[in-house]
Amino acid sequence: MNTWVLLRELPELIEGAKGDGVRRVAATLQRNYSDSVDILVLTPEAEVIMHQPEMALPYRNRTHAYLTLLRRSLEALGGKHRLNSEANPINLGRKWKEVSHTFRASGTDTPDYTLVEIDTTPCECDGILYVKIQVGTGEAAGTFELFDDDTDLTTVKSPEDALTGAWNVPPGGIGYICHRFQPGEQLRLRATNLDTKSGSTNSFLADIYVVQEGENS
Amino acid sequence: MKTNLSGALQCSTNVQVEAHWDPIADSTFNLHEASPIHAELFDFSPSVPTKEYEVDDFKVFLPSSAVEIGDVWQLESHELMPFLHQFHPGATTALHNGREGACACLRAISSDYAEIVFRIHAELVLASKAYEAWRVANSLDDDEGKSRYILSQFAGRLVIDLKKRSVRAFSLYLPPRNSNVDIGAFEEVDMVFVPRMELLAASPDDHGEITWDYSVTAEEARKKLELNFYRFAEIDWLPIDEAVAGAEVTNLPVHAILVWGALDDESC
Repeated sequence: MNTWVLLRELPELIEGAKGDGVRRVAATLQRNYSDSVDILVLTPEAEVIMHQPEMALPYRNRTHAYLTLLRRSLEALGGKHRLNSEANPINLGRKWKEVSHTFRASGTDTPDYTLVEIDTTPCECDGILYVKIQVGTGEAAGTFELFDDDTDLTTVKSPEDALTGAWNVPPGGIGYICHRFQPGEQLRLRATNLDTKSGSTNSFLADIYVVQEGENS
Repeated sequence: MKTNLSGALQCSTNVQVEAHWDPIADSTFNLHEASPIHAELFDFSPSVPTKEYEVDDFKVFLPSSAVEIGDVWQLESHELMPFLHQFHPGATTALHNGREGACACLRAISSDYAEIVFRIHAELVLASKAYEAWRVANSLDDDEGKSRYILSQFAGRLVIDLKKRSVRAFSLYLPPRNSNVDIGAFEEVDMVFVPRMELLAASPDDHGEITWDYSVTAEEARKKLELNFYRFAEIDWLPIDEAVAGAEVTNLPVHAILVWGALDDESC
């Protein structure tokens, strides 16, 4: 379901001019407002699956990155996988891991990165991996990309090599990553930034959630 | 059935076109009223309130070859400038950013009349002595430092009397939806609403309904023109209430774009 909303219309929508469902969506949009064009994918219950400021899409291949985000979001929430927001109104699924780390911007095509290993072996069936990444208040914006274990990260030059990502999340901002996985998948979350000043650093807190088949149906 | 309109305008009668231009009625950040210098810069009235055009001047809107109902063709932007300059001498179709162009569509035809609708992307480059002094004082180059009044689009309609080979009706206007102009000055931007900005002409004979033999709806023609500019217009964009209701029924996610200006025009 595709829609666009003017920023100036949000106050009226949040007051309920078009009903309760629209009010929830408008409030979520308002909370996530960051730039002149913000791209979001929300559950029907107005939880954020993906948020990416348009200006922060990776300049190397903006169209591909945008389409990847949409595809991953659809895969995550497609079909029967209704997520029960009443049971868990803030976060999608069951919190699985919490990772706190730092990263450093390389500012060049040779990434200086931090890796978070994600092993889905303990999961018994297919599911959705949902990663909510809170970037610290340091200097660097963060780019977070999810890779298969067998991707040679030393040769990665393009966002096309990533399964999905959240690009150029500003200091203090939140990035979202959604990925449908099969048990046993070995994934790596890479934190870096090729586009901001070399050597600048920041911290991040990644909350990793898992929604497994049937868990919330 | 193809129609050749190349000889449709041959009359020697002139056409009087009136220009209307309302002040900014609403804005997000009130940039246009931030100081007396801002107010002066954004204080407009039409450059030429009433202007006589020759019927020949309207040939710019005609297709160069035979077309069918619903066909779209490109317009030569530079040939449109006399109309745009009636509003403001700084009008240009060479946009600083965004999707340039102008195109038209044959919406309807009968044995007596033809209706062409069109869409033009344009902006105004603004100037005042005080603004120029500010720009020089801040060492802004000629391109980046310009003050701009970026129109969402000009839409319009030309009705041709095929028997008289003359203009029966003409309008060229800024669609009056909020927000419809993106303004920029002093290195700041704002989204504003201008209720009316329009060139309008009507012949004394312009009364009564026209019964068209062949036509597409105004909405179909508008969509064809929009698709000429934006590939994303192929997507079925819904009003937010319909999108949310649809998501609740189908359990599909909502893809929402939160934006300062309308997505489907140049005010974004």
